[in-house]
Amino acid sequence: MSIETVASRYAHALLEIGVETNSLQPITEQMAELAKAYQTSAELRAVISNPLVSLADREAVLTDICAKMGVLPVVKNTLRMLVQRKRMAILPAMSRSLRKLADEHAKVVRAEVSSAKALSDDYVRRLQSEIEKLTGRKVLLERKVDPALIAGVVTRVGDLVIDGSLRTRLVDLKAQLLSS
Amino acid sequence: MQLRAEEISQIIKKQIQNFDKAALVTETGTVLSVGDGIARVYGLQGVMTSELVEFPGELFGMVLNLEQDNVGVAIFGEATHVKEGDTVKRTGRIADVPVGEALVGRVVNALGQPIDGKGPIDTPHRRRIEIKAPGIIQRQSVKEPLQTGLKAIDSLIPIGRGQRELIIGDRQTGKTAVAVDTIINQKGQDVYCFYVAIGQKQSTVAQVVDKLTHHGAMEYTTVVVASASELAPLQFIAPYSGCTMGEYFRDSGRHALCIYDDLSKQAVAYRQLSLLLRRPPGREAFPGDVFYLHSRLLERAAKISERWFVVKKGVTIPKGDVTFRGADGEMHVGPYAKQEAVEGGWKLADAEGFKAWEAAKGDDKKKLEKDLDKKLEGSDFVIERDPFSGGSLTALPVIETQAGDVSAYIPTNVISITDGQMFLEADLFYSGQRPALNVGISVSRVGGNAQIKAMKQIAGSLRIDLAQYREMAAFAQFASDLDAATRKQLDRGARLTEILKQGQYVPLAIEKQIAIIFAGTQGFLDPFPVSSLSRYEKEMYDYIDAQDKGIWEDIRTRKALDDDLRGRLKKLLTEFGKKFVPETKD
Repeated sequence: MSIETVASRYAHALLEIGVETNSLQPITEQMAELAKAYQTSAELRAVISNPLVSLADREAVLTDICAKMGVLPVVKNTLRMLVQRKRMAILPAMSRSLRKLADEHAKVVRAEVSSAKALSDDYVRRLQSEIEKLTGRKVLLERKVDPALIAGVVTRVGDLVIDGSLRTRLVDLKAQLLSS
Repeated sequence: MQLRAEEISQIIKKQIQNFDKAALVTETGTVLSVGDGIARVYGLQGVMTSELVEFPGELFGMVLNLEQDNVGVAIFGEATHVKEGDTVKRTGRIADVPVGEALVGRVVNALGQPIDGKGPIDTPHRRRIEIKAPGIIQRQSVKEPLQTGLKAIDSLIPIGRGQRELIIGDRQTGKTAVAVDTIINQKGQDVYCFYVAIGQKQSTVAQVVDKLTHHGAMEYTTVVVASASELAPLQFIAPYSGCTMGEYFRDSGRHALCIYDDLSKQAVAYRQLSLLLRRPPGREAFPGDVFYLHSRLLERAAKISERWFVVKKGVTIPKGDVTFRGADGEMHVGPYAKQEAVEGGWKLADAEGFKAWEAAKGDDKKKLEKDLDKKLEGSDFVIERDPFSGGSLTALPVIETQAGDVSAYIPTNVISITDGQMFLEADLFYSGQRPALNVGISVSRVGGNAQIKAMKQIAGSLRIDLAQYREMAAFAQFASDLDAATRKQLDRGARLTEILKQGQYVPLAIEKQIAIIFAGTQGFLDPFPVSSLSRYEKEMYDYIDAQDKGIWEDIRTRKALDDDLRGRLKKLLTEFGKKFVPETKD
């Protein structure tokens, strides 16, 4: 079975626990943080997936990390189970899958808006309501500043990118002029 | 294409006016993993299979796998700079290539981009590389010959326009030589040729292009190259690209010839792709759909049926429009389309006369037919053919075997798909029999219908003589004393085998082929030693050229060998036989 399929099975289980115990949001966030830590720290990966280190030692490392990050017991248990079953490699995919499932459950969509300069709050509010109208869901908007866009706004809603930046138009213009 | 300064400013003006258009909406995904030219992409919802997607840096890829939560993409280019987390954009375009007359005489890669340094390809047409093959209504049976110019092939395993004939053999047995000779022989035959080189050395391809140019064959040929150094996805799509380019001519009422050299390398490229995409391997590690890979490609070779219409005089038929109906409200398709259209015309010109004709029998019917024909001529209706119908695409796939093993997976697949195969054998090649065609096991399942009658008349006895010779030759190895009849048969066979030899790049016109085979089967060669026959052949053509040049034209136009032609040929050959001096032993 591919990593993605396995990850989605685990994510489904975690989603149900989250819904039952009413703690879906913290679980999702903590899983994302742990996945990030796992991805960015080569040392952590080297220790946790290393068969030469005994299981007890590895679990001790995990317990320390979990204590430091202050995660919920259910998240800690998930990690311990992943270590025992030698499935730690699915952690990033599992976190991604869980995020998607949680968003679907809460009926929210994530959007990201990048602009060359910081946007006014009023504009962002209008943009948010427009996206909500478009998708029919609650929108969690993340702001980003990217001077490379020159001017204009790039909005990303899920897979959909609405690109109104000057940079893209200049690139298009160049391509069109070169092709004709 | 040269642009004038005003044109450039016009274009820029238009662009600036449209500059403030609505924001660009694209669907995107992110790269999960990349390796060996395959990327797994998360997102890209709504992407279609075999759609082109764009990676950063103007790098394109083709979607091959659509899975539950990711998409497998084959990258068409250097993928080293693609990394995890990169954004991938949908283009909404299914993989396509440029088609049209502008491609004739060009060398292009699998994506249709020129690689011969002769500037961009200026054509408004593009077509998808994967098109469904024409159905049964749109086809007719193969009936026109496609002359290869090779005596052994045109006489014994004739190929028709729209046929698929496999060229199979070990390495270095002259498979490409047969293909190239066939292209060279299409000069002046209104056949557009497409040579698709898959997984070959660049130097080999350069040599082929050079030879084609040298023989003036590049005037009607396009070469599609996916060389050994190119990526597996490009080698995989190259035959489809070439086929699509040929189909443009097929669908506009012209004739095309596609040579796929070779499909075993394409299958290997496809195996690589499939294994990297984690599709389950089967026999010889090929994926389960490797049969379909070749069958859907070769099925696109077809002879398109003719479409006949009854139209009012002065009305032009919209070319290639399948919704068009003639004055009788019908489109006539099929083997009897022309006759049906004529009958439709009779009905319109003289309804009563037509009824009488339908009821009539025997000689009366023939008489009424003549009257109706006259009426039709006098009326303002004419019978016309859609100029975009009746085209053809002939496919000559090439398969390389390992040590003559035709029961390997890919050879058996392609043998079963094609309408016949020509076996080239290393043993024959090294014994000097070139083209090294094994005429015993080579067949053409439909080409016989397409052979011109004269060739059919003499090929029958050639086939029998050769078959008997093979049987005897095996038997005679053990016998010391042979009776006269056997001796004679062996001699005849040796001579017939000798005259089937032919040099490379010297395709022979069909009428000359008929002359030499006629000489062989009628025993005109029996008095001469086998070693002198190649000189005999050359001098015989020269002799006929000098004595009765008109006979070539007569064979070509009359198509059948009637008593007159037989008589003339016999006379010429007898006279030449008296003059010809075989080499004397030193």
